[in-house]
Amino acid sequence: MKTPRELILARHRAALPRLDAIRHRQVAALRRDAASRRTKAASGLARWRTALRERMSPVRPAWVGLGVAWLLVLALRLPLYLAPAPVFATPTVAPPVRALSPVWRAELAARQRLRADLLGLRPAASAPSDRPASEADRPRDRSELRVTPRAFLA
Amino acid sequence: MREATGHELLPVERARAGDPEAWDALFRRYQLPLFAWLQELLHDEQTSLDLVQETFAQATRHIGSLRDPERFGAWLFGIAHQKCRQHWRKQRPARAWESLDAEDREASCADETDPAPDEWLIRKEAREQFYRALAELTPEHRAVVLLHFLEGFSLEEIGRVTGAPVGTVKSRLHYARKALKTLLQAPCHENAP
Repeated sequence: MKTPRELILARHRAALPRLDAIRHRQVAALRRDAASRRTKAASGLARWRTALRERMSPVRPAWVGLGVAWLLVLALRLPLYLAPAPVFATPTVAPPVRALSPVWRAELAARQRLRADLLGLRPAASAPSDRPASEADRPRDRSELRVTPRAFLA
Repeated sequence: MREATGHELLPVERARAGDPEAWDALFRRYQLPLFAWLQELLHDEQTSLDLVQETFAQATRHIGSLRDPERFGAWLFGIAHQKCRQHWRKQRPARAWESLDAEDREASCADETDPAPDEWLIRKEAREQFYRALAELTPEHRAVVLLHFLEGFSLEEIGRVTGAPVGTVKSRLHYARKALKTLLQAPCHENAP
């Protein structure tokens, strides 16, 4: 007694050699593909290597010189990097303030006055007195400030 | 001896990575069941061999579309089924492969207690009758019952292979088995005193 599966497979077992041939062909094609992929990858790497060599070879002394220079720089700078950082002493006494010269003092006073004028912080000493302002001190309208030919000539 | 079916340790992941040896193992495992299935459906050895080759070639190209490696068998048979349908369309364009409405309507009547394929045992003297009975089934029924016998696929897997709903697969399987039993039992009744 056999199962249907066994019966069906047994019935077609004669085709196995042809099926094996198909399988071998398919697997051979896969192997070729895999080999060509590997070759392609290898050839890509070789191409890069060749290109790099072609670019590097003509100027090899220059590259060697540059490398030596960098090594020299590194050797000279290395002790600086390796040495502990110096601890700078903080000054405990403030530096003496030098007395200003009279010229600078006058300049400073002038600037302070100017600043007070601009900000409206005129010191009390320069505040307007109680006496009435003269006609010349009175603020004028813009129309009065117009320069007439007569005033111009005067 | 029954060859391994169901959950096997197949090198599907290695095949996916492009390992030719893994493909060799997979092809070796499925070449005969696939050919037997196609041959029983088409009854044309050369076409069946061609379709096996095309199925293998397509499988190697589209292995990336396989989502569940455990369903490699169903996926491979699905490719073969597509090829088979294309062949049928060329041969018999007027025939509607899926026009089994009556069967679909009766899908709910299908017996769910069908025995597993292993439980079917056929006597030596009944083999030729089994082959003849199988050949008398419609291609749709034959496709389903062969997938059931050959690979022990579940209804869902057979549905994926044939592109039919599970209810339809259940119905087809039920009627195919019923027809086979009837055809196999007929000579016994005739010989009975």
